[in-house]
Amino acid sequence: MLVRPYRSRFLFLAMASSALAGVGFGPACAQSADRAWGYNSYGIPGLIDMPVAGSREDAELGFNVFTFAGQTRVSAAFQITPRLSAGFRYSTIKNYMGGDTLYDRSFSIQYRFLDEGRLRPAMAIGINDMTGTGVYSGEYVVATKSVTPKLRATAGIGWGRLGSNGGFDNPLGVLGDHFKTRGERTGAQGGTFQPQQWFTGDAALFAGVEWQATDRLRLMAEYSSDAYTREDGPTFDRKSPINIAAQYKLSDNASITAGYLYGTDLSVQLSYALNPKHNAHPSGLNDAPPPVVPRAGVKAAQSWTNDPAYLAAKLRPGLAQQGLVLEGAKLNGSTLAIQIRNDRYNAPPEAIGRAARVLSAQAPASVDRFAITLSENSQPVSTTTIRRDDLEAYEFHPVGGELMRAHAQIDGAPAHLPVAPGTYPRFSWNVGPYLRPGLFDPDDPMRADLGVSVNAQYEIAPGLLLSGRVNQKVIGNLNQANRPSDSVLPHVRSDAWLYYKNSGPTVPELTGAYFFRPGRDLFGRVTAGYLEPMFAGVSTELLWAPEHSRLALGAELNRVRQRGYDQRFDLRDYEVTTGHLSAYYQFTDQFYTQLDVGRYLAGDWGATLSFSRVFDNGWKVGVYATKTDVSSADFGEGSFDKGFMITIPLHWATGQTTKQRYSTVIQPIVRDGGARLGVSNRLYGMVREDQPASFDGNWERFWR
Amino acid sequence: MRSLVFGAALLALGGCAQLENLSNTVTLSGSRSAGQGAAAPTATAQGEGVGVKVVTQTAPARGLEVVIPSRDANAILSLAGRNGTVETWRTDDDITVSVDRGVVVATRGLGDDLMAADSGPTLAALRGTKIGAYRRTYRFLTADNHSDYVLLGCEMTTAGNETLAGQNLLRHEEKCSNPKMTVTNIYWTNKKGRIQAGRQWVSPTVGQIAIGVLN
Repeated sequence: MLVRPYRSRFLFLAMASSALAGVGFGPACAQSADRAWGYNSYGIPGLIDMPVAGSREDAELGFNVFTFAGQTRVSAAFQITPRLSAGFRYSTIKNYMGGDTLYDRSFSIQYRFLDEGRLRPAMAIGINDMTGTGVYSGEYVVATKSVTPKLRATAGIGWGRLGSNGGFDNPLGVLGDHFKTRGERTGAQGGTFQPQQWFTGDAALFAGVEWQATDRLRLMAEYSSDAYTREDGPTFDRKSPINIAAQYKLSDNASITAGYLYGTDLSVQLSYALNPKHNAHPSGLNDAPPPVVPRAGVKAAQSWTNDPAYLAAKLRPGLAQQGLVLEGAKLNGSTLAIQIRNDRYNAPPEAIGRAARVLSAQAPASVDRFAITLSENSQPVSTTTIRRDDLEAYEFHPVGGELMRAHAQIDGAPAHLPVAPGTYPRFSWNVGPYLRPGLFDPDDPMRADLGVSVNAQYEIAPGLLLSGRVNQKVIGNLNQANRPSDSVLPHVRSDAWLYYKNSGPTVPELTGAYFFRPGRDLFGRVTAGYLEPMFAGVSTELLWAPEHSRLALGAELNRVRQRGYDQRFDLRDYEVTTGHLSAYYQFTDQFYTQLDVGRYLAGDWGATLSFSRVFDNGWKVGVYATKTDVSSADFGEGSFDKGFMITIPLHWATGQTTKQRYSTVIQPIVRDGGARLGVSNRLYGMVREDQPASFDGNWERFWR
Repeated sequence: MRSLVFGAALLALGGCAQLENLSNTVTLSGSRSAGQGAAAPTATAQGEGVGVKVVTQTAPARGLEVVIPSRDANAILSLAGRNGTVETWRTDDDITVSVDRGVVVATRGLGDDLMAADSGPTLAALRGTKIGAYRRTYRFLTADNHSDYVLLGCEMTTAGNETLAGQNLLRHEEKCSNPKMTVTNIYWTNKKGRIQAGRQWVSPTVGQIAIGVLN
């Protein structure tokens, strides 16, 4: 099995010397053209309407709204790696080709393959509209060079839309006749890759300059290779290939750009960027941990009994003060073992570190090791054993995090510890707001419901959990959707609009679940009841996930029936057996992939492939696609299911201690093919973060 | 009773003239806070005054006075724990400052905390057992939970006697720098060589804080 080595960030950083002092933002400081200064109208690194070769800062998420002459582009971009950028756009074009307003989704990608040198420019290759209906279909190769630290020049060659102004015979024609003419798109439903079109047909040149006039002001001028053939006339009258614009930086994150484009009209663009790797309070604003108490300072009795009730009485209050729930305890010679439930700390090492300090203040001097087990739904996941000496020695050591990790032993959790009396039954509840967006309906592309959600959980015995949620809408317009499904498949998702007509309370979830450990490295779950807003039934799952492995495997089998539109207790007639075999793989500490193969809700068979970048603070940005035996024609618009996933830890945003996260899946089009059941507490997500392969990445929070 | 004006005095930063005016109720004003704001690439605030209000409080018998100009905050912290020679002091709202014989080695709860720093080289330099340049290491957390280190090359000089809050103390200046930043920490020691007060850099966003030992 592959074991993820614990990387020493210290040595690397020590050599790089003080990486921290200059966290500085802003383009004013001299940078190479590898780092783009802004986003273009498509929401990818660029000038005004044309791209540049640079990338944005690694991990940046950029949001842009651009409007010009009857066209609007709302986009989100992600700098996947330092060189690879991707963007998604939702666009409207009025009087498209003389017809109605066009609503279009498109996806673009850019890769910087050459870094700027003293003489050579940075260079990148990109494809706009990889999978959409082809409105923005265009490809390019672009070069950008810094002339002075504040002046950059860009030139490139474009194909497709970007080869439509002043086009000439494709120079790639020497490679084959295929490149000489741009073929037709295939597939009527859009949403499929059209590689046979890429870099084909006439090519044209574009160029531009940008000048960072002041810290806040950037001036741009460009010669566009886009003739706007489809829009020229009905949408706007294009008179010139020259565009000019000025961008003004409002803050470190936000900017506004105004331009005069194609000799016709003014354009306005708003940009907002944020980076999961930065925030205003990196170490958090939450309470200080209790200090380590060296053995000499412990007032405890010289010896403790191994009675669980005695141990619970000694340890529970101190742990509770840190928001940790003691579930089990055992004194085994000189090792004090506890199992804790962490409902408070986003990073598991912070829970381990605080628990260890609580133990240091309580345990008798005869104890020299603490074994701290993290649990999920009372199932022990991993055990971190630390020496009490290390805790005392490294509390204030300059590299105390690294040393603590090097000396800690982390294993798969052993069998259950004796249950600490008073742990079960456990009842918890909370009330909070909920937001349910409904996107991309041409009648109103941005709808949402906002309401109050009440959650309650009652854990009768270890792993036996009743949980429910009641939502009450307060305000919203999801009920205005009126888009009867034209799907030829069972309407497992395309009737979603009918589920939000009610203004009364709904019960999106009401289940009983049992979690168990069938063996070493194995986790099990059985859930029954109203599993999700649209389906009820029984869901079972088994996961094999060794603690130091990059690979995990899972199997899930469900028998479900469709729920009534009122989201209460009615059931409809449609029933299906659905399930998947899943493989999860961690490429590096931040890049994950998952492959699910099996049967989907509409009874279709197929597979889902997803890739995500998971940051050590809990941020997650991912993309997935599902292809099943449903034909593109039967699937309908979009041809197959695909979407983006994003998870934002609230802790990152507020600096306060909370495990709460906001997660959402954005699907350009929701259809019935390739739809998966949405059950809570899927095991991989539940278990993974408590395993060292994941939490080694945020180990440094041990001392927070 | 030992006064509470240590911190304020410290932040007067070399404004020796002002020290004489100190009493239990004092408002110091000046041009700029030391180490205020982010990025402090050159936090050499030496010789500048500060705008820190010191409110009279009843002093406990023992405590650590802390002034954080970048937060416009000051408080008297009480002892929360001791590990070897390091004492951890805590505010009522659960912010802690850990100090090793007068050298700040950690903070918690400030948003951009000093996770740990070494004190040994500084203490050795103050004792005079270390002569010439030495290195200091500071550890921080990044927003994605990794460690970030700042290494500084330092040199200690003695800057003469000063009267601080009625005590005759010896002022030492520790000038530390790397290619990206420069900072001057100040330590005031008593006749026994113990640090009674100091003005020390703790992190890029918090900047410098002042501490005064009340005993």
